[in-house]
Amino acid sequence: MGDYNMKKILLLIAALFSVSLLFAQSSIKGTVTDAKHEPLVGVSVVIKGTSVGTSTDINGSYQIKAKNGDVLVFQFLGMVDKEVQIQQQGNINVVMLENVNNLDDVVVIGYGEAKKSDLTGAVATVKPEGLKNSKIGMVSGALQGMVSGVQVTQGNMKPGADASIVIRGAGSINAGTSPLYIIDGVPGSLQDVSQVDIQSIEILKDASSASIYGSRGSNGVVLITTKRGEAGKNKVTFNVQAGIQQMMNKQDLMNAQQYYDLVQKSAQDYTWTAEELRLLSRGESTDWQDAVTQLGDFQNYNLSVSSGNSGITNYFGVDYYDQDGIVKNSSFDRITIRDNVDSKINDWVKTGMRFNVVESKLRNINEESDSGYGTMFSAISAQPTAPIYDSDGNYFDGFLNTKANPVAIVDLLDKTISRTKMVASFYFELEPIKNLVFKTENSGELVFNRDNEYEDPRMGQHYSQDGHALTSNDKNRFWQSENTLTYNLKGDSYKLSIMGGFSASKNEYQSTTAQVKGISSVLRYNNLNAASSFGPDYSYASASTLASTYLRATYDYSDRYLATLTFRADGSSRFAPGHRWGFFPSMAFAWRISEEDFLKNSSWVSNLKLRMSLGRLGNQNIGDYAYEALVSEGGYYNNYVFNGNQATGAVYSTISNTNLTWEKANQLDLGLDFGLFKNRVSGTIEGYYKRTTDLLWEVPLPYESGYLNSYTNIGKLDNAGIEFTLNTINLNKADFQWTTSFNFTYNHNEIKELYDGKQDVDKTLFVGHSLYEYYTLISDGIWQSNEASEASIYNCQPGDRKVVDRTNDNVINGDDRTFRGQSVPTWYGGITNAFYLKNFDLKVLATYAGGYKINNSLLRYLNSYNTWGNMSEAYYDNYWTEDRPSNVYPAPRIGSPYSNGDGTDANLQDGKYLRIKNVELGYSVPNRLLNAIHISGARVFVSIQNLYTLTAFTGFDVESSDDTNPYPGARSYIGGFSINF
Amino acid sequence: MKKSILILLCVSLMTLTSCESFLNEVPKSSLTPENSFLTAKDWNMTLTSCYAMLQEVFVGKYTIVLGSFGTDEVEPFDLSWAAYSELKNYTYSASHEFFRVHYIYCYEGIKRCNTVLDMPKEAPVTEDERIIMQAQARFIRSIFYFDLVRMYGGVPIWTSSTVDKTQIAKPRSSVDSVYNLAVNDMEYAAENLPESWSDSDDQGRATKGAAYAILGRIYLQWGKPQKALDNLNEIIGKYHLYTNYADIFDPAHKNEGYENIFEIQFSHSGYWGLEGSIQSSYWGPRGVGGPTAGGGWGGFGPTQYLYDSYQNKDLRKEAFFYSEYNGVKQSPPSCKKYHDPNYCTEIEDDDLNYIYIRYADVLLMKAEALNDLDDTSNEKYDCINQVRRRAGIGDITADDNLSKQEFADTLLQERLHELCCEHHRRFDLIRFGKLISQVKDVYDITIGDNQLLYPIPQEAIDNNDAITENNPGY
Repeated sequence: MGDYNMKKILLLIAALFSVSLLFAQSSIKGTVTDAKHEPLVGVSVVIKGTSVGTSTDINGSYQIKAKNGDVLVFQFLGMVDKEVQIQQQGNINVVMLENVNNLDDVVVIGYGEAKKSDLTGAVATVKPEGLKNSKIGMVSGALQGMVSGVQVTQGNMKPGADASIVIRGAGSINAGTSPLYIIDGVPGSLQDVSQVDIQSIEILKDASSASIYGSRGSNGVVLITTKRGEAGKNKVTFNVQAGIQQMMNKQDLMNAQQYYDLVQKSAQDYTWTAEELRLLSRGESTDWQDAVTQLGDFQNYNLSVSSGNSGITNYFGVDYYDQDGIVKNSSFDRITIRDNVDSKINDWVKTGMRFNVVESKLRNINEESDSGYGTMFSAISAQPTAPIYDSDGNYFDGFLNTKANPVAIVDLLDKTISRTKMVASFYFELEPIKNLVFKTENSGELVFNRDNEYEDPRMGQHYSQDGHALTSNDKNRFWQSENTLTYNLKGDSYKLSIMGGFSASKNEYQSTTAQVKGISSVLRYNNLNAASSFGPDYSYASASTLASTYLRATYDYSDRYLATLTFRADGSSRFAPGHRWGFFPSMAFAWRISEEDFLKNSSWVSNLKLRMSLGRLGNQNIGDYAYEALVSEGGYYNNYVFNGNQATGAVYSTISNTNLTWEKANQLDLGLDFGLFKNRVSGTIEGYYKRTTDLLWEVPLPYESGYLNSYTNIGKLDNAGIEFTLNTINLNKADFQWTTSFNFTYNHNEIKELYDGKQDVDKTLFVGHSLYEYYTLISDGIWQSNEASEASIYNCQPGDRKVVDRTNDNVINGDDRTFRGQSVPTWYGGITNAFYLKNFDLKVLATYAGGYKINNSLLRYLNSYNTWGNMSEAYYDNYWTEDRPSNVYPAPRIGSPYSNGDGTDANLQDGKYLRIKNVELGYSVPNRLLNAIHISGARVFVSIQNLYTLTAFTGFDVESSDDTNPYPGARSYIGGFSINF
Repeated sequence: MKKSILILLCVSLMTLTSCESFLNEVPKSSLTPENSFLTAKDWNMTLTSCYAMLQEVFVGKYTIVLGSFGTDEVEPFDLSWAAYSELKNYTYSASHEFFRVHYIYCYEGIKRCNTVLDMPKEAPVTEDERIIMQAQARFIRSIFYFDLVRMYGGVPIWTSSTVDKTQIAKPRSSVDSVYNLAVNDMEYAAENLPESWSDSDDQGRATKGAAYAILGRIYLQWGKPQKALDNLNEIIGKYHLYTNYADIFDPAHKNEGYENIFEIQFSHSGYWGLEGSIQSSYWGPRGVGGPTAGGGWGGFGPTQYLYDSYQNKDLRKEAFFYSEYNGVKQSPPSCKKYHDPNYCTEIEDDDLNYIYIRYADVLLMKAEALNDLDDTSNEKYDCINQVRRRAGIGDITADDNLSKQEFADTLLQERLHELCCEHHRRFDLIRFGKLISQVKDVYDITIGDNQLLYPIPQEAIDNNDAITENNPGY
């Protein structure tokens, strides 16, 4: 018995002891910040399973008594919940991640805002964080890989060049595929926006969301909202970043000795100049690509001041961007100034102003399309045997086919475009009766461009002997008045909001161009008077107007069933009287399944919403006066000479189409938004089907009519696709987080109908095929020695390119062409991985695209024998000879048919790629180090852009468009810091 | 601001039509049918635009080579340009850009002529003015149709400027009907055009003599030597031969009406791409530093065959060729015909007219017509000898006992020596039945009968459903 008791007591003691150990409470301290290491104020910190808790103070700090093994739960609006188990005593600093699927986020939707949970349409939001992947370049490029359904192609790599954006596939043939950009309510372009000023970018992809922009919405709408001051949150931010750029994919070309050898072996009658022979005798070679390129550099400074009180808030931002490109003497610099003021006059009157000035200057390369003079093309094709300078120290000028000296072009060409843009808008918002808001927003914009060019005679034979200067000025004036009335009604179980409005806008453009010859290289375009000969001079002017009225009603029943009806009518001066007005209705419904009782308390479904929308959008992007028969007067094409004097001619240049009207895009969208496991996994699956009808199309006319084409509303074009977005939080430890965002888009583009029952137009557009289909002959390698007799049927010899005679009629002609793939990606997307370890963060963005081919038009010069200049080293090493047969590189025979691959698929390369677009490592300086010097946050980073690209394409850059004179792509190494105080 | 208020009111009334006036925008930099074709001057400008297209059809960047490439007289040196080597080697397809451009220019010109010919009754011109304007328009239209038919064979005929989109696809007409249209037009022009223009500001316009000369050319190409002879006889003795060859091409002698019968007009204008001609830059000597150094681009030039075919004493060997220029040897010799003494250093902006037809050609055509008609008089010898005498080479007489074929061969050679590099050789060789054999002899390239015609441009066929077939072999 005693033993028994004894045991019991011992056990009890042991238990008590252990329990007391277990309950040995102590103080846990720490700070809670967001991913940018900015403190979060008011975060609730609770011990799981208890009601014990606290919240963070103004510095984001908390203190709580807890034991080892306790789990602390951190919760904050807009952030993903975080649970941290206490392993040992001491400090626990926590980084909370933003909930990318936060349903309470406010989303800009055009003429208003909505809570994300209330959205019925396909609206994608890009937050400023997401734009930081692209340091060099314009905001347009920064959208790449960020949003599904939005295809961003950089195309032109020159400094300051905007990327092109196509939303949900190209839906037009001649009326443009670019979306409508609205910056704070005013149409604009992304080139003019400083990244730092952006609060958010919303992309309206479906008919329901875009139809409030009716006639201009068929290619989608991109809404850019800039920052505004916040009451009580004064903040100054200063960002600095700078870096260098290195040319990628320099082409491997022959050196002088190889070139000499090849020319000597070929039948080309080539007379080597003394200068060339001298260079050869020294064993030297000119690398023209190196000669015209350099290490580029870039710098970007940005200062913004956000301030405000309850009555008035202000945001001021100034940004300076300066880039020297990798081609010598090409550069872009830009300064943007923005000031956004909002003030509350009294309880029912608000007013505000947006003011923006942009000034930029582009120093361009020679983009002359006439091959041979373009900066990069001349550098690729110039013979390596030519010296840069002759023995007298002048630019060598003995290029094949009288091309210009590439170094002279980069040294001497002066081609700058200076641009000044001013936008101002002013609004009044009145709420005379509760929930009834009238808003009038009136804006004006002036854009001035000045294009100055000076061509120095030393650039070569192609240029006028005594210098040529040109200056061109244009001005665009735009005004717009938008007036809306909004009424909100809220009942116990429903919310109703109705917005109606009307707007009018006018655009006026004018330009003048003057040019002279025989001008001093000092005065150039700055004193045309001093020239010896003048003209030709030009001027041009045009204008267009748009008047619109629109209405939107949204209805929400018990937060579960949502509906939006939108209607817009637009009248455009661009169409014929009687056909000016277009009507663009749409509707959308959404069902928030996760709000239904059966899912409301689900532990793993946090959000589930099914959306459907249907509607019609328009396009009017065809330039002014397209419906009229125009008589053009003057110009070399119309003028003649009588008695030695110029006589002015006039002629019909277009025929009228008095029925010309809107291009219409009907679009169906079906989407599912989901959030699982407390939104640790969230995303969207979406399908769309867009049919464009009445295409504004410059339909080819029979040449015999004397007209080449005429704008006609004709045809049907389909785009159908699937979009998938997935955001996951893979690891969410206290001081280590890993998140992934992935998106994928597949788009199928197909011409459904042409006109007059045609199955093809001009053998370039085909029913049942993509708008961007290649239709060419098939190149099937090289005729080999044992095929001489078969080759002779086609006037070919062994060593010539073999082209497939698909019709077997012993003639190679247009009938032998067939479909060889399309030039635009069918699938594309991006994946971002972000890692946060203590104060370090690492981000990796990769973009990809596939399902298309690129016509690498440089290959027509590089991979076959040409008498214009240099070829690839691969050609030299592998060209066909009897003893060294090749099936890729034709023999160096002048007059060898199809040798350069023109008209065949020989130069098509698979465009599929995966690119590590940006790798960025950042370090946030701990606040305790900063507080002493009144800095509230500081971060330093290093980043590498275009680190690695996996692709079969061999040109300068897989993202660059098909061009024989491309601006090469670059890899960039960047560092920078930002400070808040 | 006032305007905005008005607009606000306007829209708020919601009567959409009341905004129509706000939506009316009138073109600022172009005219419309409502504000053009109102005065005689307007109509004259349209006529001017007809002439303008002659510049493009004969002296454009691409068209300038079309009568010469693929013949024994001229060859491209820049063979890396596929478009050039294909024409030389007869490997071109219907998609060749030069045909497309030529075809478009011809029909653009025809449209312009048709616009003048469709001049409404109420147009503010006198009957005489109307006739003389329309005679010029038909003169020019004839040249375009003639160029089309000799290049591509039968082509669709458009004689109205009105475009009815429902009947816009017209089929090919027969070769004869295109020739018929061309001669009808030109005969109307010959009847109604003046011998010469009294107002010096009209220098360069079509004349009666030009119409007769061109009728001779068209009829010969059509294979109707008697009609050719009749028309050529109308102007025999009315024009002359310059003693000095350089005078034919020298801008100082423009529009003298002495030897040159119809000239397509150009004028140096201080900037390339305007009213200056590109002939000096395209034909100029090679390897001397390009146009700015008085040379040319060097893309093509006369063949060695051509140069070697002259007798050594032939004055034209010196007059028409550079065997050296500025110390740079020209091998083969380059063409001297298009040397502008004043503006040869300007890029594509010289002052040279293109001589569409001149009296030496008329004399040789007359000899050809007579030979074709088995004329037994001495007239044909007289005609050819006028041309030969100027060249300092011996006469050909009946005593030489040339057969009809031998005379034709001599005549063809004479045409080569006199008219080389003037856009005639291809059509001469075809007319004399020698294109295939000459191409074989000179280049060792075998071509088929079908290549006596160029293909209708592929895009013209693609755009016109009524054209169902191309020429054989394309």
